[in-house]
Amino acid sequence: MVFSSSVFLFIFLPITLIFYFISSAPLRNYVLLLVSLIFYSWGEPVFVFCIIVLVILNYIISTLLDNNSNLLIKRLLLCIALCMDFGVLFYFKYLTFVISNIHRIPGISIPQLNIVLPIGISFFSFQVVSYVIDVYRGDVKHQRNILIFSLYLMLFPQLIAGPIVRYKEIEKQIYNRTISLDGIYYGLKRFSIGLSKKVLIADICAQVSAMTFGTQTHGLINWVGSFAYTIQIYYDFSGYSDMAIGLGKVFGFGFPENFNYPYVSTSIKEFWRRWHMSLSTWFRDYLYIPLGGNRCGTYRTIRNTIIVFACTGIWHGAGWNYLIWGLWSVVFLVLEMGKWGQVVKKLPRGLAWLYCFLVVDFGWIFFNSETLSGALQYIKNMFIFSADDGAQLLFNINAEQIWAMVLGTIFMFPLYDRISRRIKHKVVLDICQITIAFITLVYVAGSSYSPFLYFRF
Amino acid sequence: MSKRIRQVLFILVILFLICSPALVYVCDRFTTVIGKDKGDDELKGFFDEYNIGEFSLSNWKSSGFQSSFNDYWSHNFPGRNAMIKNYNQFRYSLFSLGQGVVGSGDTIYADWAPKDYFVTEETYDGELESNREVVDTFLAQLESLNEKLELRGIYFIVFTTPNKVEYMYDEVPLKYKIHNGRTRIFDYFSQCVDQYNINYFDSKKSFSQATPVFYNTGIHTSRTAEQEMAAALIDVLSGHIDISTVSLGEIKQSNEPFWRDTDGWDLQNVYKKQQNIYYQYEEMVEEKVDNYPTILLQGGSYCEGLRKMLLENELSDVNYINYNATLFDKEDTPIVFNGDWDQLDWDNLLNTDAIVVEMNESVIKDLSNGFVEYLNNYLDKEG
Repeated sequence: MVFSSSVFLFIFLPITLIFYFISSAPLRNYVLLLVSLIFYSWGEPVFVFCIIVLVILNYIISTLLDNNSNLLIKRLLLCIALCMDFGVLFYFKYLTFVISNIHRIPGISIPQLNIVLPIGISFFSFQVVSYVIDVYRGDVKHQRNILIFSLYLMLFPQLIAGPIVRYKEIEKQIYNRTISLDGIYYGLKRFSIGLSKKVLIADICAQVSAMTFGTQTHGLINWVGSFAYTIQIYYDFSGYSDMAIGLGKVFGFGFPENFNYPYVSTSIKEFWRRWHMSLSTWFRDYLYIPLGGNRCGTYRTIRNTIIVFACTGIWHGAGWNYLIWGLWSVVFLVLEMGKWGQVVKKLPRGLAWLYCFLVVDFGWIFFNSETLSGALQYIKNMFIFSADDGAQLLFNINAEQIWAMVLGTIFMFPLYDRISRRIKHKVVLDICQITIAFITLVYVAGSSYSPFLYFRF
Repeated sequence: MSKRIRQVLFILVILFLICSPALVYVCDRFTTVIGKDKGDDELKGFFDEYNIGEFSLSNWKSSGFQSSFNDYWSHNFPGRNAMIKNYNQFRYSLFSLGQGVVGSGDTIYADWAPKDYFVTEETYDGELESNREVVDTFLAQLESLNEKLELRGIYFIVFTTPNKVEYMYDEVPLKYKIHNGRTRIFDYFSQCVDQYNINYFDSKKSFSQATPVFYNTGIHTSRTAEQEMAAALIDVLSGHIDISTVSLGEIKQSNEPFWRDTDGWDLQNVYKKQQNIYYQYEEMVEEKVDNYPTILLQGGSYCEGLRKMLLENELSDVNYINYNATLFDKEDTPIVFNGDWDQLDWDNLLNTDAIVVEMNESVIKDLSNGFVEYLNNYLDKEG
């Protein structure tokens, strides 16, 4: 079930809201747990049991961790938990990829497995691992109530596509959250903004990028296609995060922000501080810093950066193109550590922005291509121009798509915040918001099924 | 307005929007004001039907129930039709997007019409040697079929129907008109057809243009153009088989379409209304003959005007093969064969006085959907 589907919007959400708000405060957590289970089992009726088993096993391990002071035993328990959680992730997400690559070795033949990737498994795995590590470190006290523990891991707004929520961020909110008019207002507002981003911008830009990726197009249309994908992925993912954060707010939770206008960045370093922040902080806290971070010399810093971004790449997908995408960022991060970083800082802001945007844009080509060779071919085709490029572009792209890209470009900058601060009569903003929400719902009704990009990770 | 009131109103409106299907459902049951059954909201056109799906453990496990429920709900939730109309109207008004190609002056074209006329795809270039060979082969097949059918005493004629762009050129969106130096396959076909022993009828020669050949609202030729085309073709047939002919009398006019004059516009399913005057000839059977022939008709939707005239005036029996998908027999019973020509009873179908094949100018490359080739091979086997 995706947030932009009519089943979610017109059946699941209204029923959930009704049951949540008519329940007494002590029961609300259990209502949320129940609807979260229903939500997940709708899309994954079999794997939901695997999730439940993982929850139980992690609960047991965390209980043992919390009750044990012997460092050796704690380390052993942590290893077991990590092997189990990452093992499940490896099995479902990477095993097929590994086998297909082993097949390339002459003389080796392993039966190919038909493993279906459960939605949200990457987010779930990282969230549960963060919990276990935090318990191991003593940063949080283990949650003794298994149902509340399950709620933390399976809360439906952020279950299938983030943000990755640390337990310490919502520990107090589970038992002691305030449901207020303000919260519901801002939550619904945020949800409807996210839905509009997804339906009115991301899905329409997806039509443009689909025209170019995996096809024989070249020249100007390829540039437009990659630009459209750059818009699409941001609005798709940040739109989903907005919806998750908005729903959380309605229920009284404050989830962490996941995006901070990443496309205003003037360096790749800044970009990664603004893009998918819950993932990058996860890697920072649980991989980069334990490896030594940037406090052990230049070479180790570079090594650690390579490891983190290689992992970031393959976290997104089991494919060489994802790894290359991750390492693409590393190249520029490393360059920015040196003299190039000084040059970028001194560039006029517009040029620095252009540099960063183009690097990110080209990176997305690797991300979105099905194969590495496909990505390289796409980039090569971008530089094959012909006289009828303009005509081809005009023919293939319609006004709706152009507007989606224009609006996507405009609002990738923090203009909404600036505009809303300047408008004295907030009711004007509310009316605009409601109009956009109505148009969005109308598009949901009129458009065909469109899954999110990220929830297969 | 106080902040609190503003917030409450905002929340109520959003909740109203997400609960609107439930509210429409309730209103439908208890009022006559709004609801799915109230006529105005019905969408025009044909749609796939979806069922909720069987709820069982195994169907749930395989996600079969969820998938069919998703499909059912997204196509049937209460109030959906009104939302679809809003969606269509929004896109139509702001972006000139709709079903088919939307030109200026609310002119609707089938997707393929401007693509064919302006040869937007290189693979359809009439200058390509491969395409010319295909046309040459097809013309040879038509000639061969003609000769075989002549031996059987069956009159065979091919007629082509026009591309709307030829009659409503100015309204086509600019992006199609950018010159690319290609020529239409139909242009090559029409240059060569006279070189073969084929009975060929170009329907464009029958249009008087006293009334529009196409309306802005229609995908097909106008009712009067269809009647002119059909009457002229029947006149040609009467020179070779015993069939009564039809003359076209007084022209009636109406603000409401006759038959499918607004089929293109109807599919837009928008709130905007069209104000056109539509025309239809009065049909009179002329030179009535006692014979009641049988005609086998194969083609697309553009030949249905001919079929309508033949049946409504009781001029002949008609076996009609729609593309290569469905046969409508003399009793109008549909027999779906989906390209498997062997399924059809050719002994019965070839017990006919005439065979008429219709091709729109845009689809010459479809080669009558395989009908001509199949019949040639069939007659070769039969001897």
